[in-house]
Amino acid sequence: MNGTRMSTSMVYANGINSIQRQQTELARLQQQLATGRRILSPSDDPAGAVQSLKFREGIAAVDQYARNAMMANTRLELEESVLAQFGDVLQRGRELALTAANGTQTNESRAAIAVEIRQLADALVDLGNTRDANGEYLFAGYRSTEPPFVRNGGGEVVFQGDGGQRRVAISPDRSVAVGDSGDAFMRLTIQGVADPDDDPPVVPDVRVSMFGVLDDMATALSTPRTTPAAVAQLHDEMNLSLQGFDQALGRVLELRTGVGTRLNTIERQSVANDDHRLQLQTALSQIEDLDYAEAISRFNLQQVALEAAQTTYVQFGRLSLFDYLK
Amino acid sequence: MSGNGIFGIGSSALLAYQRALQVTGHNIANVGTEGYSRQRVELAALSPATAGAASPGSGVRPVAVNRVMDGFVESWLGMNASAAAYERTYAQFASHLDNILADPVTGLTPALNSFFAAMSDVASDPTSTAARQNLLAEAESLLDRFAQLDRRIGEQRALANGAATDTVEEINQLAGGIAALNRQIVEARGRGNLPADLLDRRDQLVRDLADRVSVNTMEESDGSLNVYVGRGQGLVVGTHASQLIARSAAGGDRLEVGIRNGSTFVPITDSLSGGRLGALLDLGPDLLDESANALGRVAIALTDQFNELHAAGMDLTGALGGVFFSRPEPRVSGNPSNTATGVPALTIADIGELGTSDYQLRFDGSAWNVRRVADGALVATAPEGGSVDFDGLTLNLASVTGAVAGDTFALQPTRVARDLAVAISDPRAVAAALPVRSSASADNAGQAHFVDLSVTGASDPALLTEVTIVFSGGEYLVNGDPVPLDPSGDTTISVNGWTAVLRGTPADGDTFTVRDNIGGVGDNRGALALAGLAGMRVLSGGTATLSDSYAELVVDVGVKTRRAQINADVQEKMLHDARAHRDSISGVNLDEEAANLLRYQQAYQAAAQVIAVAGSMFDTLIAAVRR
Repeated sequence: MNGTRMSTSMVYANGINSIQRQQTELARLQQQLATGRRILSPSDDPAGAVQSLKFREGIAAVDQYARNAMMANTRLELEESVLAQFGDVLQRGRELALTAANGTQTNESRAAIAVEIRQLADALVDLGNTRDANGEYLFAGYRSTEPPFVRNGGGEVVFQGDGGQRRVAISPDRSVAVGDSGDAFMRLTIQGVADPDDDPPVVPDVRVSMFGVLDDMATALSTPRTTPAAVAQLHDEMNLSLQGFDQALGRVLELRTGVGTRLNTIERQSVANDDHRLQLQTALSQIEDLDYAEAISRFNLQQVALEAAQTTYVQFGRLSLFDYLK
Repeated sequence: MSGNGIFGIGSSALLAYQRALQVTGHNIANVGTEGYSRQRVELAALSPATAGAASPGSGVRPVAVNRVMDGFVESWLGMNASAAAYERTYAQFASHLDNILADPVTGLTPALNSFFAAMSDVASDPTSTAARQNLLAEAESLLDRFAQLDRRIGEQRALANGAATDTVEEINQLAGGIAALNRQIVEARGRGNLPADLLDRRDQLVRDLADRVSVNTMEESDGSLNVYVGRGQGLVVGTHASQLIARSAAGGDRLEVGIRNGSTFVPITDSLSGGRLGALLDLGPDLLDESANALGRVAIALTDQFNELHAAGMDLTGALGGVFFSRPEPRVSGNPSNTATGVPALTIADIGELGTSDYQLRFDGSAWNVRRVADGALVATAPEGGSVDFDGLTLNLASVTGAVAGDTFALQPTRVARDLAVAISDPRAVAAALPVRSSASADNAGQAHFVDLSVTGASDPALLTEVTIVFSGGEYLVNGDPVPLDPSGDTTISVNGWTAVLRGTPADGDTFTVRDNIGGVGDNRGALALAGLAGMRVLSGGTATLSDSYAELVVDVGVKTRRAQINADVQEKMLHDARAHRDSISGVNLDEEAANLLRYQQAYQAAAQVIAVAGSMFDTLIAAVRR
């Protein structure tokens, strides 16, 4: 540019230009302050805009895991409570087995106990057919819209669910099972008692379900015993029942322990998820949110710059040689 | 009048300074006229009328009224105007596109998030009709969002094309104006005048033209100015102005610009550059098409991968999962002037290898050549009726016959975001379960158990057939066929379209079963896999998830926008400097003109005084002679 000459229109153009630039910048700062956002349009900070999208995606994912964890928690707590009730029923059954083996029992008194045992058996089936808040059967595996435990034609409780175990994701790399299949109630093994008089002396293990333990006990107690041999056999049968109850209670404990572990896992993961969400939210805020203190001071400075541009424009514009020509 | 003596000298000066005052007044009057170059009277002393050593000169005469201007600076200003207009226009459109794509509320990201959240909810509660209906609703929303974004990009393209057409109209008007001025200037020169104001006006028109497209100018000896666009295409030659024409190119949304040469249309789209028009023509292929393609690529990855996983699942009725999303095949459009009949078939072979460019298919007389539009590279060649693979696509030319050299097809493989649909309306048809389940016999004595079961061949007719696996003699017998125990501890068994992994050491005689899962409505394994699609790296050679790929698009547009804005700022500054430079040479300064007024006024008064003196000398002479 020629350093010694400036046209009149350039003088005015420069002045107007300066004012416009200051006004534009002031308007932008005003917009930032009004919205609280540092990034007004994505091209202000392309890398920041994309990071913001990624953080939002991350937060949405963590929120989903939190929802899943809550749902899993509810279901597992229900299972825990049902298993506790299972335990109570089996414990009562065990007490009755001890009572029934007592020598002071009569056929009539044993028959009365049998009635209660049958009630306990029904209660157990009802517990096994517990439904969750969505109406699904807790212990049915994947066949969750059909009751898992029914009595067949022969009066025996059979399992018509399957072994499926549903899982939900509570973090990107951790999922937890939200139920146990009821076939765990079906497969108890009672070690056979060897009768030394038998030949061969090996006695096969007895396979029975929890329900079977109660049913068999009720049947045994309903049968009148008229001979000493029959009474002795009753004692054996009560022994078997006791072992059955022990196995059943052991199985229930196993399941409860499993549920407890899973509940702990969910608890720990929820804490980790909360932390993670906080981190993401903080990072998002750092990218998106305006630093008010800094913005306000820049705004004030910008106002001064605009005023200076306006004042100098007017003053410069007043100077003209024509004022001095006569 | 260069007469004799002092009278002559005085009156020549009077006339000369009158002229100078007029020119000064003209400058002052035009201080606000855009493109005005200040004018100066060039004065020359008149030589003596008579010869002789002591002969005085004959006064002064105005030789010319010159514009004070520098042709080089004018060209420089024009170049900067073109560049500034280009960057400004590009930045404007890029920034609109950026706002559309990157907005955290209206972009694609929140819709993707909601869809996969709904999928997760089905995984949490697979028998719930409400959850399934919500999934279908979210699927529709997501496809709506794809369509909206694609439509917005289309709107930008239409705006750019409209603006380009308008700009071509303006260019034609300016060219016509320049040609008309050329005629007037040549005439004036012929009459011996120097038409300063006409020249100024013509320069202004050239500057306006440069704002719209880059031009080169060349002055002829007769005073006319030739204007060239592109690579030497004559826009104005002497007094003749050519017409630029803007029209839709074959293939729908692209615009092409050409010059009419007699009855032929000569396309010059690719050689035009700079100015508003250059930017508007570059935006399409550079920014808008690539963005629409990138968006469509995300859509294709979503629909194809989701469908694949869905087909491997089982719905509430016990049927295998059907098509969940429907999408059109890649778009192929032929040039209306093609001789060939039939349309090539283009299919997507490998999503991970897909790019974001359109392609051009052209027959050279013996073979078909495929060129990538983004970088102009030749990517594949196919014989007549043959087929070829490139960039994740398969092109089959079997149905194309009778092609002649020059026949072309436009290929738009991923421009599908607007035409997607959800193919399922019954919530029970969402396949949240898997069709098979595994179990180990309760009598097994060993430690082996299933750790994974997945469907790898959903179309296998034997998929649901019950398969018994027995461990015997150190190996698994799968329906009798032997599979050895893997020493790593995990044995993989693949048969009938499913794949299972057994972990741990089995005991002899242990039995395992894989059978159909019909009735297993509480099974969520299919839904879990579908929800897991959000994290699967299905694009860009297995490095990018769906949202990664969309984020790449956002970054790309954001960076281009930022770069254009920075360039625009730089160019504005350079344009301002160029204008300032021009103005420092040619612009009117009122103070300067005021000083000149004073100077010439004094000179005029002095000249009048000379005449007065001459007059009084004459009076004296007459008085002396009268007797």
